[in-house]
Amino acid sequence: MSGFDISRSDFDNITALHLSGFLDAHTVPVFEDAIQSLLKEDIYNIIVNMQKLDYISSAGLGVFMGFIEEIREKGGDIKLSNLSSKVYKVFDLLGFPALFEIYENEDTAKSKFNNS
Amino acid sequence: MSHHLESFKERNLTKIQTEELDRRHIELLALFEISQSLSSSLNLKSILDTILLVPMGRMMISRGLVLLQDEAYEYKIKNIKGLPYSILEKQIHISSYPDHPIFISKTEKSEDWISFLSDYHIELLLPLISKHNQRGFIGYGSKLSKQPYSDEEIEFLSSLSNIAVQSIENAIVFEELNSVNRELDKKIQELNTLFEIGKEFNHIFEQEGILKQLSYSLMGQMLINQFFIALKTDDTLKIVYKKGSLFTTEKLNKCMAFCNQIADILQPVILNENNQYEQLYRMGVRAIIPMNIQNENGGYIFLGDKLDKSEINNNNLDFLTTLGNMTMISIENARLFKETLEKQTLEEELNLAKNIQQRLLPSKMPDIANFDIHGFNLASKQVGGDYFDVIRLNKHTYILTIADVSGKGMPASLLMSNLQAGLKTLSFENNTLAEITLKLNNLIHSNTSIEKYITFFILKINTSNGKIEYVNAGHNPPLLIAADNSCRKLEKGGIILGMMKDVSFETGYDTLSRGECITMFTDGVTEAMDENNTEFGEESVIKYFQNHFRNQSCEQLNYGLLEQLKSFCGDPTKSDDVTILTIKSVDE
Repeated sequence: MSGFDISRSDFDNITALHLSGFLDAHTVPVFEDAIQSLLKEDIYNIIVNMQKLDYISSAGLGVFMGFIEEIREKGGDIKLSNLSSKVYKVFDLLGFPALFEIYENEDTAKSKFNNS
Repeated sequence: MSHHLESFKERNLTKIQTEELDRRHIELLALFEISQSLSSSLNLKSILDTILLVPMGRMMISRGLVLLQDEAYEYKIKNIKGLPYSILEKQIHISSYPDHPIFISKTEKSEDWISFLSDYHIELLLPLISKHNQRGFIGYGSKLSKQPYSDEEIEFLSSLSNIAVQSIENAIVFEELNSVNRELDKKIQELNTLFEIGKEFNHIFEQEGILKQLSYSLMGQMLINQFFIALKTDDTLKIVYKKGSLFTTEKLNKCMAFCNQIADILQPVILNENNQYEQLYRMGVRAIIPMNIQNENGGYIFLGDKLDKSEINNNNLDFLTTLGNMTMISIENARLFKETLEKQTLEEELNLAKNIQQRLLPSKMPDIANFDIHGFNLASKQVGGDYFDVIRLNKHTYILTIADVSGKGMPASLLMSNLQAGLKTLSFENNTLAEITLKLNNLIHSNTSIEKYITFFILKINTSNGKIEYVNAGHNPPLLIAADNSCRKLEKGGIILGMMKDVSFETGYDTLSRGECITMFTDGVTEAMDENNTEFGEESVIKYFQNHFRNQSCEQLNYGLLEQLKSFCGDPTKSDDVTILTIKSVDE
């Protein structure tokens, strides 16, 4: 099984997580821990950049679902950016575009946070 | 086409005729253009836009709509222009449909659909007919000029609808194909999810991890982040996992109270306000997914609303059922795995206990001048409740004791070590056997419940003259086999230890003469059973000793008796411990 990795960039009031590799049932705890630690630091404006993500399964999408209620209650959001067409297809099939904002690139996603 | 019409016109016609032909010419050109644009599109919306907007622009019509057949006699409004959006997708029942263009205001029928169209000022209705099949209608409002539609205009619109219907059909097939493809992709996604979670379950061996995996897949695949899972323990449902803020503890308790009253649900149920689970529906539960293992219910997943507010539908149930059952099997496997581990640990601990207990029993018999002595114990499980001991008090005085604790296994062995410890702390110098027995009785009585007791026999022998004194507290009477082959049972004493406080014990007296022997044993010997449930019995023990005690050592006698037990019932330790202690007065 291919690996999965996350790197993090902090901006003024936004943090971007860059995912790479395979996000599936096996690697999902890594992603969950990453978001969990952001919440512990009271960071609720989160961009998930998936430029280098090769694959996502339903379990991976489950992590977004698991946190979104808490994050939005705190006035924050998870915005998604740089989805490859393969990754976007999964989001689209499961109906995510109706629930999450998806942007072509990280800068646009960032500007949406700053406008709101 | 344009070129031919021009030359024809020049050669043949008057001015009026020319004007008429000009008009026809333009109409034909328009139809030609429309048909080109229609047939090049597979997008239903843009096709419907074209067939409404083109005539509306050309004839100054202010409103229009398209009705397409949904099922027999049912039509849906699929496109509107100049009308309120609220009527889009509205279903209309048309039972007797016209097969030619009609004017709504001139229709004499008074059906619902007529008055509906009339309410929205639709004036002209044209059928969309393909291969004699009614596909739908195009409706137009009045012209802004207030002029009635001319025959030529109606002819033009009819031609338009005839051209349009083929494109509409193509677009519908294309849309259906797309939607089938998408459904297929969704199913593949579901299967991938199940496949993935199945793989993952193979190496998770604790319930919490399993439920967490289930939770990810459920949330990602179903867009549900309000749910809880209850598992059955001893026929009562207990919440083991919860996600989301909707289901508060108070609500969960109510749900459980309700669910514990109803019968098992073996098939998934989608809830609504009208079925028997209305109470749960009002608390926010939208579906109950049973988690079955071998057709038996082990618990449920209770699902709340989807985050996108769409409804859980029958298409999702196969996925959810499979997910539920897979989870149940994994949880059961995890439980069995844990049980096996625990059992292994327990067995290791029991083996340790057995070693400790064996060390409480004498490992080696003392050498006593003019006496042969031998004893052994075989525990039925790893640890047993039998006890025997030989204690030297001084050069000529020895204590022999045997005891049997009620029950077997760990509890019996604990009580046995309690007895052993008690016996070791009592002073034989200052206490008679009866006093020692009484003290042990009171110790056991205060340490145990009434159903725990010990049969106990203690004997003191003076090895210089063979005189013995003994107390028998409810133990199988030891046998004194005399020189003349008679047998005396050492029965004097009192009731078993631990039943009552402060009871009195009688002391028995006898003498073990040269060549005679005393054998003590536990009920594992006398109550050993053969396959017909016949007990070995005390008589057999007596006979055995009478036949063999003269010529054999105590060790030979004891093991010989064990051999007899084995040939009688196979393995005598399968139901109880076996302990035998024999002493014989010998010539030196």
